[in-house]
Amino acid sequence: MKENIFEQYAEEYDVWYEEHRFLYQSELDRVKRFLPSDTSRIIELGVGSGRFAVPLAIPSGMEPSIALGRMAYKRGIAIVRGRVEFLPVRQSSCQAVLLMFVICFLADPMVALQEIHRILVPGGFLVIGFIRRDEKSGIKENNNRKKGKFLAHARFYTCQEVAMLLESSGFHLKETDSRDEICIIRAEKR
Amino acid sequence: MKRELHDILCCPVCKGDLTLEVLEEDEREIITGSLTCAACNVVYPIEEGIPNLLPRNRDE
Repeated sequence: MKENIFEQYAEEYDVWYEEHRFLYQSELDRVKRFLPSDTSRIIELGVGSGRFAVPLAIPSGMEPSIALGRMAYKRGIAIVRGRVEFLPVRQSSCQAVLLMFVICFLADPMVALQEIHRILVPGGFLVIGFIRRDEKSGIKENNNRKKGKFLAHARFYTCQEVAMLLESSGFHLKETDSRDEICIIRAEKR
Repeated sequence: MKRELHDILCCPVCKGDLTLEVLEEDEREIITGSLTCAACNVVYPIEEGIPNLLPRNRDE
């Protein structure tokens, strides 16, 4: 059901980034600080229409939605259609993974993080960005926030919950940036 | 799909090797073809340059 929404409303999903340029740029700036200057060895999982991969010069991505994947492909990203929980990637074959605004859509984030851990080389790292649930007030109602109809199907986590999932999946947390509604964590494969 | 990508791809279900078959290729990449997991007996298509490796079993 979730994926049907992305197939059906792919254009609408993509145009959000045009309509919210300031917010989009601030997200790009924040995640960029977590990435090495050479991003050519990074794969973005749940790459969508390529709105992060393209400006961050990330050459390849995986995406379950064919409608979004085709957009990213047309923007020059090498696309594999696949799911994070069932990565079609060999063990210890990737230097780094980017996972932006994806964990909230996963049925089983623990399985997904274990899969990411499996494909990373020892010492490889994951950069994960997500809309965080506030410990006290829950997720803020904000119509300006990401892609209204898409987030109706999302499940939000606190930074602490994601940190615990990462630790339980074999990652060591290296750096966290938690401001406004967004948290970005860089975690290294132990 | 670039040929070198085949080196890191595996079956999404059993994680075994995939056999590449190329039907159409240009100077940049494979346009049409397939990736087959013999262990699962599943053929994953490559269409318009994009391999479809969504998990499936043989009956799907």
